[in-house]
Amino acid sequence: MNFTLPGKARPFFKTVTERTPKYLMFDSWYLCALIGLRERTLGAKEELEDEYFIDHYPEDFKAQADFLAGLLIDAELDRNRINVDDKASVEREMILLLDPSRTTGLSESGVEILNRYAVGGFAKLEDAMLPPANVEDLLVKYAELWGGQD
Amino acid sequence: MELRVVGWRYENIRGGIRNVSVALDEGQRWTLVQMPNGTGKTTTMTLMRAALTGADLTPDEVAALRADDDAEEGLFELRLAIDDKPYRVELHLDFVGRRASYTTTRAQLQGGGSEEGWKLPPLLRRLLTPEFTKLFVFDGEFAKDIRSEGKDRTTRAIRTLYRLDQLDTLKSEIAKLVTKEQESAAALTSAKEQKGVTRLANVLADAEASLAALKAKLKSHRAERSKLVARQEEIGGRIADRTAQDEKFAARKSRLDGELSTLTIRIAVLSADSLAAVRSPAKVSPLLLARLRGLGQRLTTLQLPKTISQEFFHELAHATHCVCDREIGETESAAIVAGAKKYLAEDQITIINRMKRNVRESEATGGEFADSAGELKAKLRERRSVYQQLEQLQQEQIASGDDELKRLVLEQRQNELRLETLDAEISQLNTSDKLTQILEKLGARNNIPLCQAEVDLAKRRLAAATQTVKFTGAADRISALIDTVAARALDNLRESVRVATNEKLTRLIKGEPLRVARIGSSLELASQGVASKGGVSEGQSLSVAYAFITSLLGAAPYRLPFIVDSPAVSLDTRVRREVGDVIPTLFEQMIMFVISSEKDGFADAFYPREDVRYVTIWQDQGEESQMREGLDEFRRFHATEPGERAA
Repeated sequence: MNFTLPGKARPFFKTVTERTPKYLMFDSWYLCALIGLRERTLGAKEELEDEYFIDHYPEDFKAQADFLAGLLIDAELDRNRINVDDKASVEREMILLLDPSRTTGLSESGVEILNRYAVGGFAKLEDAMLPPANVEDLLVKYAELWGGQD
Repeated sequence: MELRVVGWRYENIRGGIRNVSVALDEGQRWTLVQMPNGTGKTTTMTLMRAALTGADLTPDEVAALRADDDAEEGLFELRLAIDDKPYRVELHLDFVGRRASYTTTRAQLQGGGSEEGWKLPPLLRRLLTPEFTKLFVFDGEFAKDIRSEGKDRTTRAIRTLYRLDQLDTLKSEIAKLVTKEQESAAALTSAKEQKGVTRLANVLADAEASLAALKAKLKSHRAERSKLVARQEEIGGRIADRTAQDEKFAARKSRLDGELSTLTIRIAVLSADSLAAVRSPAKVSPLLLARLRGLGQRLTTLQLPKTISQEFFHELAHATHCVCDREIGETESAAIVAGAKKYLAEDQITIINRMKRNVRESEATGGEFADSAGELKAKLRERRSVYQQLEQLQQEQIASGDDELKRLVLEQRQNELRLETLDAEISQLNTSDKLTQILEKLGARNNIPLCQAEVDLAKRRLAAATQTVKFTGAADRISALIDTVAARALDNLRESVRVATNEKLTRLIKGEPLRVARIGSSLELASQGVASKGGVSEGQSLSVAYAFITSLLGAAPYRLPFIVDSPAVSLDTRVRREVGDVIPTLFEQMIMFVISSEKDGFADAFYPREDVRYVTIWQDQGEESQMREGLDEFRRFHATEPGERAA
């Protein structure tokens, strides 16, 4: 599976995407996924769009590939209640989520789980803010979601 | 296509026909086979029809052909020449199992072998139906049937012989094509008639009208928007001019504009910085940074990734000895490969090490995004304040009595509202995003891409329906034309056969006004004398049949033999002679089975002719049949009784 947006994300970010050339479709997916990883909340696969929108990290995100992989491993260890002192279990989880032969370094299963974290994250985002009118509003509101911005 | 009988052979057939073989390979035009009654004439005719049609024989029919109780197997072999190519059809009779089967031998077969089954050329197979074969392997009953209403033998014979049946096949093929065309169009439309096409054309016209209206509306909206944007710029300029003209407000306005400009630049920078920061998880939140560092430390503690990778074990599995010097057999090798799956691969180790290093070496604090976004939020707030001050300034200027400014501001606000409405409507008209279309409940009546899709679908449906209806109409016209051609061909053929039949009847039955008036479902005779004499005699009936059959076959695209049993037995001597004179000239090959009494007036008409083969088959008392050839034997047999002849 490649990077796929949550079903309702496209219209939610529509205005920002249309008005801000530097804002990428991948940004929408990433902002959702990051909240989902923080919350350890997986959404349903059925709530994803039918088609993926990109199969690799855009240039601006390539340097963050290892961090995203790390956050995914961390979230999955926690979500699956894996004993982090059990070396074999931790290694097994990493083997499941990583695939160096793919450009993202993530396995098919790893990307699918990230997509589902994006679904879970979007639900939080949708609860916390209205569809943003511009990228500035989006960034300020998003920062508030991470706390301590007031 | 020409079909000739070259010979036939019997083995163990009733009537004592055990091992008799008749060879006609010298190609004589006429063959007279003299067989007394009871020696197998009718059986021979039956077997010939079977061999020519490949008919299935019932167990009772097989049993009826058995020579005697000692015979377990029998055979009838018919040798043919089809367009000069030799064919041999063998009818094998299993008297014990009461079964019959065919084998066919033909020149084209590799190695000259025979193959199972009845395998005459396809064109002949279609012609040689049991009913049609009775025409030329002549069945006396046919003479009666062709004049019987309702049996329709005459018309069927003409249709078969002149291949009018093929026109029915053509119609059937056309019907199949129509069905196929309708089935392929069924996915798009069920319309099969013109009214369906008209309905679809109306649907398309409506959809196209809607599309044109939506496009016109979009064009109008865009034009209005352009005008409003230009007008807004003009209003903005005029408002600025009015403020600048008033010294009381000009300085304040200039200062606020300057602040606004500075803030706008700063906001753009902060926006870019915040976006860059949020794209790095380590800069989004101390929480995420802590988690990444925690993972790195945990992996270090666990000594992950291991220094031994999957690759090490795969290499080891293929070695002959372990590092501990133990031998590695197949079992050990399989166990090592299975166990290798528990270890990270070399490049997975690289990813994890890189992640650990990046986290360790990252200078991020986790607060970069919060800082940048915090400042962005403050500057946005400041900008809102400047906007409010500018609005306040404008209100003060209006309050000081600047009605022109008041009017301009009012118009500016109204235009803003109108622009918002126009932008929303333009977006609704234009969007091709499926989710937006669903969420905003857009349809073909208010969205151009959806309306265009409806037009395209209506066009495809109309094209399919038009094509189907056009195709069906053309097929109907062709089928009607075929019916007309078939009817006219049949009429013309019937008439030409009728005329030819009457010409022959004139020669066969001199002095009798017996003529065919019409060939319909039967031969309808027209003769004033027929009714007064109480009907047609058997001889006359046979004469009519001969005249009809010879006329029918005479002009056919097939050259067929004429095989007849007791051709003259029911004719009076005068008609016999006429038949003997007229009929032989009408066929390329004739085989006539006769009995002694037919020689007078019929067979003897052949004696002066060349190109005649004479065969005499008789059965001695209680013995097998004998066969002799030649005119002398044929004539002599006439003078003696069969039982005495054998002696």
